[in-house]
Amino acid sequence: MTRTRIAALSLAAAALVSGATWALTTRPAPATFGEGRGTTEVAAQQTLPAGPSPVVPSSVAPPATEKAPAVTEKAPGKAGKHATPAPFVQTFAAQPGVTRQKAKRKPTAPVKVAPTVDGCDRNYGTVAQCIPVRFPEGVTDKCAWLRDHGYQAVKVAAKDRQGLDPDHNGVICDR
Amino acid sequence: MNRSRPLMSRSNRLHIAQFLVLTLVLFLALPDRPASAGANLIANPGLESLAADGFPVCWEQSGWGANGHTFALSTDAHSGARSMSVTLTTAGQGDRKAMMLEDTSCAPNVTPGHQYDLSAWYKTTTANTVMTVFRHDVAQGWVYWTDLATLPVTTTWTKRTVRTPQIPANTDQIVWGVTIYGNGTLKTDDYTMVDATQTVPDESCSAGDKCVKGDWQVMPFQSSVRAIHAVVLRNGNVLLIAGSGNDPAAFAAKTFTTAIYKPGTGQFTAVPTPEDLFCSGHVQLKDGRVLVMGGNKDYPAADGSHGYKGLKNSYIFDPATSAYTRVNDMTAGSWYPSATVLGNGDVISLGGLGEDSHGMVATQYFNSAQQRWLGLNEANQTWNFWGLYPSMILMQDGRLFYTGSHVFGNGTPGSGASIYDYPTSTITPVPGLRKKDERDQSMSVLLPPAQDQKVLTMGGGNIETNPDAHRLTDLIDLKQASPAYTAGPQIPQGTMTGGVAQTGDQGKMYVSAVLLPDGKVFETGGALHNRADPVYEASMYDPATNTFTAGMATDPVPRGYHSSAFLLPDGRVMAVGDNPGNGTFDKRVSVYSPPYLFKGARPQITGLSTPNWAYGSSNTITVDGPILKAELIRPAAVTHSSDPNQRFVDLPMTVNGNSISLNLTSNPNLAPPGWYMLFVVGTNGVPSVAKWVKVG
Ligand SMILES: [Cu+2]
Repeated sequence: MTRTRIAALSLAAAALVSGATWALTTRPAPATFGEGRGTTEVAAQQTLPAGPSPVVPSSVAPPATEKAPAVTEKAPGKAGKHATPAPFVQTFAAQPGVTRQKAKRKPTAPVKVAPTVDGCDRNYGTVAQCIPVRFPEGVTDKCAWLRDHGYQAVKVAAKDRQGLDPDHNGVICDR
Repeated sequence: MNRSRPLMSRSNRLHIAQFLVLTLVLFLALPDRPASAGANLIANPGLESLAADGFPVCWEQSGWGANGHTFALSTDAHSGARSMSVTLTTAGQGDRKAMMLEDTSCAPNVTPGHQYDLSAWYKTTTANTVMTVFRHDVAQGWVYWTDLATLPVTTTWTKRTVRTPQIPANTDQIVWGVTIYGNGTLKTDDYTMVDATQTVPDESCSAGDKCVKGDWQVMPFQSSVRAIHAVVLRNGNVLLIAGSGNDPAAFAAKTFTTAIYKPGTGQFTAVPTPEDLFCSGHVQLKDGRVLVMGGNKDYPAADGSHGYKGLKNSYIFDPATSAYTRVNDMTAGSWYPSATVLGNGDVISLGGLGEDSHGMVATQYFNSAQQRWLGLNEANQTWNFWGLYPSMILMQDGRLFYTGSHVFGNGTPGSGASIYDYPTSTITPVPGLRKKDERDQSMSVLLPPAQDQKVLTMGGGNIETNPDAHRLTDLIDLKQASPAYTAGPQIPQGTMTGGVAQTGDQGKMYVSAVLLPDGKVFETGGALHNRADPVYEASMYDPATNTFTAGMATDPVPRGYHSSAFLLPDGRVMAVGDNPGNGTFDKRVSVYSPPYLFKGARPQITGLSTPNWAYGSSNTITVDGPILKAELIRPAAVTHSSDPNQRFVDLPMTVNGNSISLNLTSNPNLAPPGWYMLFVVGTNGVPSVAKWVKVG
């Protein structure tokens, strides 16, 4: 049985190999014309009609020879495998119809930014602390909010703008 | 009765033997069949059949631009009678390619999630070539998908094979071709496309919850400095910059600090810090050194006479010497400036506050070749005020996309997002960003892969008006002719102090978003109000499906104002900082292990042909098993939820067993020069530890 199987297997393998060989050999032979055959290739080339896109039509001649292509890129002699490709950049986001804002005049006056840019009321505490210029919506008891958020012994640094120091002792929320 | 016939005749036996042999052969042969032996999905792959118009059946002339070009059939064929020859003679703008016809009959059918090996035999006299793929989206029709690889110059017939990324959802067909965009002749022949999908190993995860949520660990040590700025260095260490660390006492004492953190050992090494680099901008230069610009010249006065003042100083931090070296001053003081590295390695810095504590309106340009900041008149100027830490993301054509994400207060006037073209000093508005005046300390990321040119902007609030931070996300596809933000999925909700669940539209500002090596985005941390009310929530955003997966493990440490999270080279996420309004600073360090770290063995990169990668090159690595994908991730340079340079660059693979060539884009704007973390992801979805690669 084993021998039969091996025999059958070899037979099948042989059939496969021959089949494959047959399949391979009946493939059309690669057209290997070799290099540097002058203008014959151009002659053999059938220039196709240009596509639907607006193009410079067939007035542009194909390269005369393979050896001397109409290529004037950097160091054609060294254009081996290490030739660096130019960046391939896509024309995305052209924004047709969108007006481009041109450069402004150089401003003569500063573009004002409030000293409270970080949302902290500098009338209170150290600069490390941040009593919000505006408390979150729904906060009715600012002192309770500050206590809940770990603020301790915050002094009035300038004006008591938010009325957090009703006893005027210079420390807010200490009643 | 009758004597039965022999059970089997000789011919019966022979038939059965034949059948058995065939079955056996098939059984033996099939599992060993390499994926590349699959059916060729290309119609008329050898360009032999011609249609009535003389062009090969199922192929068309494609391309654009005013370039002199010729499509021709050449008898110089790899096999058969002809090949396709495309010649450009006056290349400038645009490109040409022979493309598979975008029709149901000719275009190869594909399955989402599958990968395909695309091959073509070619000769080219110019390296300005690229394999370009379009996909048929069941909703949008035919759209550009991606570029796979540059085909180097060769005078002999050469086969080039590149594996596609996984086919995106909603895609039923793809077409592709080889694009030529430089002067020269490109010949192609014998295209193949075969399904190269690899089986996903059936591995069970035994780590319980961690399999789906990941896991946070709070380190048993604290940061030695107030880690307000974090930069991952090319040696894998993390530069943590505090300057005065938002501590006016330290400022008064001129105690400025920086530390180098070594994730491997948990060590912190102090770095002498020349000035108050709190509030500076930072970005890695192409040699891996870190350009630090601006900072804090002064804190605001209590009497309101002045606000924060921007520093003009600029320094380069060198990981090799662990030291800052001063470069020339910027043209203006810069407190909260942006920093974006360009495709040529130069850096543009915009916005912030000047020395007068008002809006800084100059475009500040660092010339990489000259290693200096250009003078005001040497750089192109728009005199536009971009706000504070404006998120300026480099687009594939070199323009900058202002995402609308910024720090403090309202957005810029108008739509709140725009495209800035440095060479022409023009700005064009981009519509669609919702709540543009509540994008204070939101976070924007260029989604993986960078080739997709999609940006997601997440959350945000407004420290001035102090509403509840929201949970909106907006998504934009910068490949569109007229890009506009569209509504993305909402950020999942978490809990607040005391375990109180978020409700309604409550979301987060101070949010962190980290690109992970598996191509997802980890969203973590944040707070509801101006320096108050941390939100404990983390989720996983999948760019492929545009969805958040809620319920990731949450950082036990609050991560509000002055917090950051970023990817470590080992695939974990590190989080630092929290600076609530009461003036304290949380110096705890937490590290997140995403679910992929519990799902099986990590793939190993056992060899790297070179760490120096040129644009458009193919670089060989060896691995120890099947790989799903590979990519470069630019190391973080993050502060205030702003890291516009964060990007994930897909590396299409040419697979030859365990030897894989990784194809780097020819476009430096997709991967600006510098050091990157190279990751591979196994078929089990587990990423490797990064190897470091220098691009450009
Ligand atoms: Cu800050």
